[in-house]
Amino acid sequence: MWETLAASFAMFAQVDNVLALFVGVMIGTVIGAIPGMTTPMGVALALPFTFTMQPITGILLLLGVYKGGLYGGSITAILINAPGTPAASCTGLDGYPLARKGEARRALDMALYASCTADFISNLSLIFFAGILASFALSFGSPEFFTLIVFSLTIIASVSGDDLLKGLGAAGLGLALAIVGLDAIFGTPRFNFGNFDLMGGLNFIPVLIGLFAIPEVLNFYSKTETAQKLSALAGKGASLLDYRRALKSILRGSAIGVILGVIPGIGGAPAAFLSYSEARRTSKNQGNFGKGELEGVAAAEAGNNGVAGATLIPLLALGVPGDIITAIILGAFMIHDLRPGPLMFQQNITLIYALFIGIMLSSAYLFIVGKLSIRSIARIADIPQRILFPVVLVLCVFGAYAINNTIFDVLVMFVMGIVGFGMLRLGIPAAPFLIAFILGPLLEDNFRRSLRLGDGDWTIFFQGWITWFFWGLTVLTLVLIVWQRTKGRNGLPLGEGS
Amino acid sequence: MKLNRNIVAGLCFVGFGVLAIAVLIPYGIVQPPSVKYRALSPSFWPYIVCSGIAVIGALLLVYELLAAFRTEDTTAGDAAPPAGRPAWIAGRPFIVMALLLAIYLTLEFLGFVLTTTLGLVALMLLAGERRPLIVVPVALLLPLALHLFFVKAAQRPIPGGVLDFLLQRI
Repeated sequence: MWETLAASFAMFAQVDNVLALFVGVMIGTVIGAIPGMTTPMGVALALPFTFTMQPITGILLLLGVYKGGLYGGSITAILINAPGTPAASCTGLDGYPLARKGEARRALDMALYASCTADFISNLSLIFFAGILASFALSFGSPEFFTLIVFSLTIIASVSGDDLLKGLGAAGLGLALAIVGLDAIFGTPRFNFGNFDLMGGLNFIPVLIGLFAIPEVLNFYSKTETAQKLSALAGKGASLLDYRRALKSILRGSAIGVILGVIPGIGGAPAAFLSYSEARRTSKNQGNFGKGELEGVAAAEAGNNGVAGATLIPLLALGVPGDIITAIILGAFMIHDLRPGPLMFQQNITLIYALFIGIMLSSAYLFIVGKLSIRSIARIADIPQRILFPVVLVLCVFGAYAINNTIFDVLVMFVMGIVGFGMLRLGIPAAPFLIAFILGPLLEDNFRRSLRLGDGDWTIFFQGWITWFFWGLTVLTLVLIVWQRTKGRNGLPLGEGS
Repeated sequence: MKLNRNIVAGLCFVGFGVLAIAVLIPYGIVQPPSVKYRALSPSFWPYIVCSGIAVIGALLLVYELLAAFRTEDTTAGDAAPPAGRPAWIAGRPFIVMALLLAIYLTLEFLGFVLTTTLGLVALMLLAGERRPLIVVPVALLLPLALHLFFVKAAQRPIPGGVLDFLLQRI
């Protein structure tokens, strides 16, 4: 055992490896912070550079990009409400209001502390629970996924703000938009109307940028510019007391991230929203969520980064990639004639332990790079809005196009921006729309797959303890939501409760 | 009763739901020749979702009507522009929307650099930035820097348009 560990340390402790991991985290942070540049895109772009590297060096570089990207997405979400990654849109719910109050530095600090803590916990879980959690995830079939996603959709109640009905309506619109494309079972077109660009459905990133960044730009033009009260760096950073206050939410979010991260296909966004929802549900400052609550930023980032190590569990233990990023990393393993899975734990245990050491170090790198980037990138918030918003718009145009190299995505972004502006003016929250748009295809696919599996028998959704577990959680959450809203209603209609 | 934003939102939800059920789903979803179970049909899920949207919209309207009977004060959620705001500022988002359309239509022909340069100048002037020493460098350098980043570093084929011959030499 100790000999293996010593050999692994010797394998890792090379200048190339230490440097590759650091450079990877730095590249990932910058890419994550650019709206339109996604973490998978960053990992994919870095992949060709790893061909000539040692296997461990190349894989550490990619892991660095992955971890940096998850955190980097929160920077622009907080500063200009243009999330760099899907999960970061949850961070922006409270991060951006904090930035508008002149507390961007505090929000950025908290996002970094929560990210590093969650990343560290996730890495520990990877090392200690790889086998156990991977075997649990393997027992998930379509009915279990369906009930998990139904439970995840209860988040909508938490992010609907004061108006549950409008939130539910927005979620309905998100589900409807997710239908566009080819039918997953029959391959027939749905809502395409002969348009070739709609065959593959709407790309997530243009919808995300359109819904979150463009309405802010349009809203800016509908008002007279107010002088900026404080620069991002002039504000106080997050204190130890802030961190201690949010620690419970950070730990809970990390656990949610680890559990959801280990299940293939879930990813960081649902983990971030679920963690945020739980933090809001249990917080004393419920009313402040969505208006600039520091705990909301911490919870979202903890959920988002909690998945980072956990998604590697099924990859390393079983050779099953949980998402697109781990699929690219699996490709990197295979390029070097390595096949992750149970056999790798027997034949290449030194490499596995060396990777674990590198992964643990990445949490420290994330902290260093994060601190450095806050100082430099946070200056964005000091730019006058009459310059910043036109610049954001141009950044969005390039970003939306670069996803798929198609002008159509720019159009989707503009249209969604105008829809989002309309929603803003009507007080319809955008977050439920986005959550439903992300989870919609997963929900429908697993619903129909389950029915096919059960030969049309609806009782398939109630077979096995996992489905009952999630149904139970869903009912419990709904009862709590109704109770909380009824308690705070004071005679107001349901739509305006609490 | 005033037309407050909750009523407008309710009408939008009902309108979309009805439009989808009556037109979009029947004409926008191609049915396979045979489907074993109704729930497996490509249109089953859309019908559920769009009916849900219409019901939510109807509920929103009902609550608003009930609230209107309970109280005369329905001005809380009015979408009317805040007092004291000049009319031309209220119209600025529509000018920006027209600019977005112009940007989209010219992106491919003029290229990203030229289109966004012109767009930036127009947007900054519209936002109230009048200093040439700020407007000109930002409008010239930012699109060029973004073009170079996406083309050279990210290997994305950003259309150069009429400036393509020039951009390829950089």
